Amino acid sequence: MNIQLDIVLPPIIVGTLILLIMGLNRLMMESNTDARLSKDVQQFANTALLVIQEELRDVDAIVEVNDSTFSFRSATADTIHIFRDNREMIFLRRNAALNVQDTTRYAARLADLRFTLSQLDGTGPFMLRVRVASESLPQEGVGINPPRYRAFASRDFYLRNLDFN
Amino acid sequence: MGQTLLALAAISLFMYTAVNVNRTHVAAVGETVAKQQVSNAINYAQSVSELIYAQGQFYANLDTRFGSLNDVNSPSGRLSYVTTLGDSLFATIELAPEEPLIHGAYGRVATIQVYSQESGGSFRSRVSLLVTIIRPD
Repeated sequence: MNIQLDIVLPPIIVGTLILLIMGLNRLMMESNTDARLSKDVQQFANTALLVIQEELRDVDAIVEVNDSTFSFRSATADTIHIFRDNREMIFLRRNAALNVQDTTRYAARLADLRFTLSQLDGTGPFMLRVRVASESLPQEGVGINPPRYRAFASRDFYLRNLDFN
Repeated sequence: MGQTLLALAAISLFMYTAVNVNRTHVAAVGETVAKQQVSNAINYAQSVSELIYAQGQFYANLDTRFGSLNDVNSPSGRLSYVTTLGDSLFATIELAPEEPLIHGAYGRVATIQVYSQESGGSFRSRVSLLVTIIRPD
């Protein structure tokens, strides 16, 4: 059987071209979304650090520190607990004298939040290392099996107010 | 003959396009990693600045504590930190002599430089940060 190439080839080429163009459009859309997601999670991780930094200005006394929670008494005599609940960063604030409690939940898309307290040279000023990881979810992406993006931010904070107390 | 050439030309064109698209994709992934590295370097520079502020109350001992940390090529002349990604970052601190600062205060300026290490072993400057330490009255 003779195959007539001049009839068969053009539709194949045109079909492949259409597939290629559609694939490119899909890839561009996915790439745009991926770029936005990776930028977002990095921004969330850095912003979580900034929010914590603002709270740390008021540290008057340390109540408890473990790997996942940092609790302290502030200059206004509030007891503040900072921890992660699922993907949110929680600031739980209690004032025993006034019997008031409030909670602030930051939707920081957290995957991890850790605290490490240390003293410089063993006995020197207090430093708090805060490590944050934020992560996107597959449903936030587009396409088939979209990737999850994770970003990290870590910083040491000098607890000045505590040091000068 | 003409059809065969046409087919070859089309395949070449498709391959060229596919290779370029893949290259763009790889570049985008590289860009994401680079963004994380820059962010890590900025955070590390700020951590070092917090360390300097913490030592600021020991103003007279600044040279003892930080004076020798000004050579990135020497392990004893730099600070180092391993990021969550496993990259190593290095920091040096250059302490300027005491000078008049704003509002009549006197103090010293510390220049923090953060470097990453390239695959060839050379150091690449990532972030530079200046902090001032006021002399206590």
